[in-house]
Amino acid sequence: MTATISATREAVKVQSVVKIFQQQENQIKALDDVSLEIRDNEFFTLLGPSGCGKTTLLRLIAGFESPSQGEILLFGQRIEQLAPFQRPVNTVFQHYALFPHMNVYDNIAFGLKMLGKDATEIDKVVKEVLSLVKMSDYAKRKPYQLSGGQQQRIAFARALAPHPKVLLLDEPLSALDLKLRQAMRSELKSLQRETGITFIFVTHDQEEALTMSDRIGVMSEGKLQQVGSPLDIYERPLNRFVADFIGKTNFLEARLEASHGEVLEAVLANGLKLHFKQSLAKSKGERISLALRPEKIQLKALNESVSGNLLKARILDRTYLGTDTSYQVDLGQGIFLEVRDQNALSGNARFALGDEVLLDIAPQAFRLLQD
Amino acid sequence: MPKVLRRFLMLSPAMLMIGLFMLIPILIIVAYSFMDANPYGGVRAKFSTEAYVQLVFERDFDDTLLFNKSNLLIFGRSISLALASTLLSLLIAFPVAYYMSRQEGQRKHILVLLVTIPFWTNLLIRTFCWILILRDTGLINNFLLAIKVIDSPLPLLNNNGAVLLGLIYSYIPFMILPIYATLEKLDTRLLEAAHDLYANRWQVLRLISIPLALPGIIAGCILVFIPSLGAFVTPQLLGGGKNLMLGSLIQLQFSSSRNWPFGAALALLLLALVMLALIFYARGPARRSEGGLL
Repeated sequence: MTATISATREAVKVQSVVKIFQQQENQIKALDDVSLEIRDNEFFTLLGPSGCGKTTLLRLIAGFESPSQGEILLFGQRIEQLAPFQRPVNTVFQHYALFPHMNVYDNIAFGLKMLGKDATEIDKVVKEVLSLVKMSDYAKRKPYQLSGGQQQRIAFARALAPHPKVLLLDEPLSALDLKLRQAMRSELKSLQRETGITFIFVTHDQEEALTMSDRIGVMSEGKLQQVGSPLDIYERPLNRFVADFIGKTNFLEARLEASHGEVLEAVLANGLKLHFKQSLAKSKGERISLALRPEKIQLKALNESVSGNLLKARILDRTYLGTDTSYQVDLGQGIFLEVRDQNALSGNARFALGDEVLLDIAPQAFRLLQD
Repeated sequence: MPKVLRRFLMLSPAMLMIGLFMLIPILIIVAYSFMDANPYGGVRAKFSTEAYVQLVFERDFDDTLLFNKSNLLIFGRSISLALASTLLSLLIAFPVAYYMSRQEGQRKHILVLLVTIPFWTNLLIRTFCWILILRDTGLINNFLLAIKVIDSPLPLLNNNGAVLLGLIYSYIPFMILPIYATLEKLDTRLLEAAHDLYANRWQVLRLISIPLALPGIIAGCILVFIPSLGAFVTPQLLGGGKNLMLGSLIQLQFSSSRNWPFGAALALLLLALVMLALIFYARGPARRSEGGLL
C-alpha cells in the first residue's frame, strides 16, 4: 500500500547501483551500492568533493553510462537500458556544450526538432523559454558572441525547452564568477519553482547546496553519506565526513560516562566532563566522537554567568572575518577548539590573545557521530 | 619604420623561396605559352597565341580552324576522375577518420602512423604493385581463375576504373588526416548534449559531427582533388595509353610532341582550375565556420 503511493511520488529511484570503471588493469568503483529516492518537483542536490561519484550518478540517470549493477527507475519505469535520447530527462552541462555552429534559437529548438514537433509549436516554446531566462533579444546570436553567464542561460533554456520530467544539472555554475554565481542561484531556484520540474543538481559547493536545495545527498568515495534537508545536513550530520565537509566543525573524542535520562555525560581526554542531549544508542564506557559547530559555542568573560556546559580556555589565535571573529582556544592537554564570535558594534573583537575565557556550550549543541 | 623593416627581413626568406622557386617558373611558363614552338624542342622567341588556339581548335591544311574536342575530352575526363576520386575518398575516409578519432590515446597515435605508412615507399613503386595485382595474370585474376569463378581474366587494368582506384589509393591519406584532425578536436560533450536532446546516432552525425568537421572535410577534398587533377604517374601506369589525363597530356607536349608552348598553356589551364577550387575553399567554409570551431 505504502509502496504504491510512494512510487508515484518518486521522480527518480536509484536502487543498489554499483558502477565500476575499467581502467587498464585497475577497477575503479565510482559508485558503491547507492540507493536514493528523489521526489517529484524537488530541488535535489548531490553534494561532494570531486571524485566522490556525484557526476557519475548524474550520468547514469542521463544515460551516458550504464550501471554495473542495480536499477534506475524514472517515475516507476526502469530506464537503465534506454539510450540517452530515449529518456525524458535533459542535462545542463558543466561547460554548457552549446552547439557552436548554431545560433541561440537553433540550439534551443534542437531538442524539440528531434522530438518531431511542428514548426509553430517549436517557435512558441523557444520564445517562451527565451523569455523565461530573459534572453529574448539574443535569439540570432551565435554562442561565441555571448558571455559566460549568457551562455549559461541558453544552456538552461535548451535543456528546459523539451519540458523534461527531470532536469539534470552538472555543476552548471562552477564556470561563472562569484557575483554571477550568487545571482544565478536564486534565479535557478525560482526557475525550478516556476516550471515545477524536478531538478537534480550536482555541485561541490556547499553554499550552493545549502541555499538552493529542498534536499541534499552528501556523497563521498562512491557512497551516499547522508540524505536530508539543508537544515538536517548542517545541524544533524550523521558522521564525521558530513560534519567536516559542510561548514566548520570541531571534533571531540570522548568516553561515555553516564546517562541521566535524555542527558548523557562524557569525559574528554583531559578529564573535562561534558553533558549533551542525544538519542543515538551508545553504551556506557564506549568511545564516542562529538561534533560541535564553532558558532554554537558562546565565549564569555570570566565574570559572566554560564547556562550550559562550562569550560575554561585560553585564546591562542584569532582571525578577523568581517561579521565575526574566529578564535582558536586551548582547553589544555592538547584539546583545541575553534569558536566563532560575532563582532561588537565597533567591529572590534571582544578578546585578545592570551585572555582567559569561559566557553558556554548548550547540551543540544553537541552532535554525536556514528563514526 | 624599423618595425616594418624587421617584418620585411623576417619574411624575406619565405618571399625569396616563393619568388625564386614558384613565381619565376610560373612566369617562364606564361612566357613560353605565348611563344612559337620549335619543332626540335624548346621555343622560338616570337609572340604567338597559337598554343591557346590549339586548346580547342586544330588547323586544316589551308589554315582554317576546325573545332577539336579531343583536348576537351581529356579535360573532362581529368575533372570527372578527380571529382569521383575526391567523393569516393571522402566516403571511405570519413568513417576511418571517425573511428580513429574515437580511440584512446596511444592507439590513436599508432593509427595515424599506419595511415602515413604508404608514404614511406615511392609512389611509382606502389603504383607498379597495383599493376601486378590488377593485370590479366595478376593476383586477383589468377585467384578468381583458380577458384573457377571466371573463365577468362577480367579487364581490371588500363581503364578509368583502374585510374580511379589508383588515385584514391594514392591520395586518401590526405583526406583521412585533416578530417581526423577536426574530429579529434570535436568536443564529445557536444555529442552527448545532442544525444541528451533526443538525437539518435544518425542525427548526431548529420547535425553535429559532420557540420563541425566541415573545415577538415573541405581541406581533405581540396588536398585530394588538386593532385588527382594533375596526376601523371597513376593514369600513365594504370590507365594505359588510351586514357590520357591532363598530366599525361602536358608531359607529352614536352617530350615526344615537342610543343612546349602548348604544354605551357595546358599547365596554366591546370593552374587556373586549381585556383578556382582554392577560391571555392577560401570563400565557402570561411564564412560557415566563423567561430565554428571555438
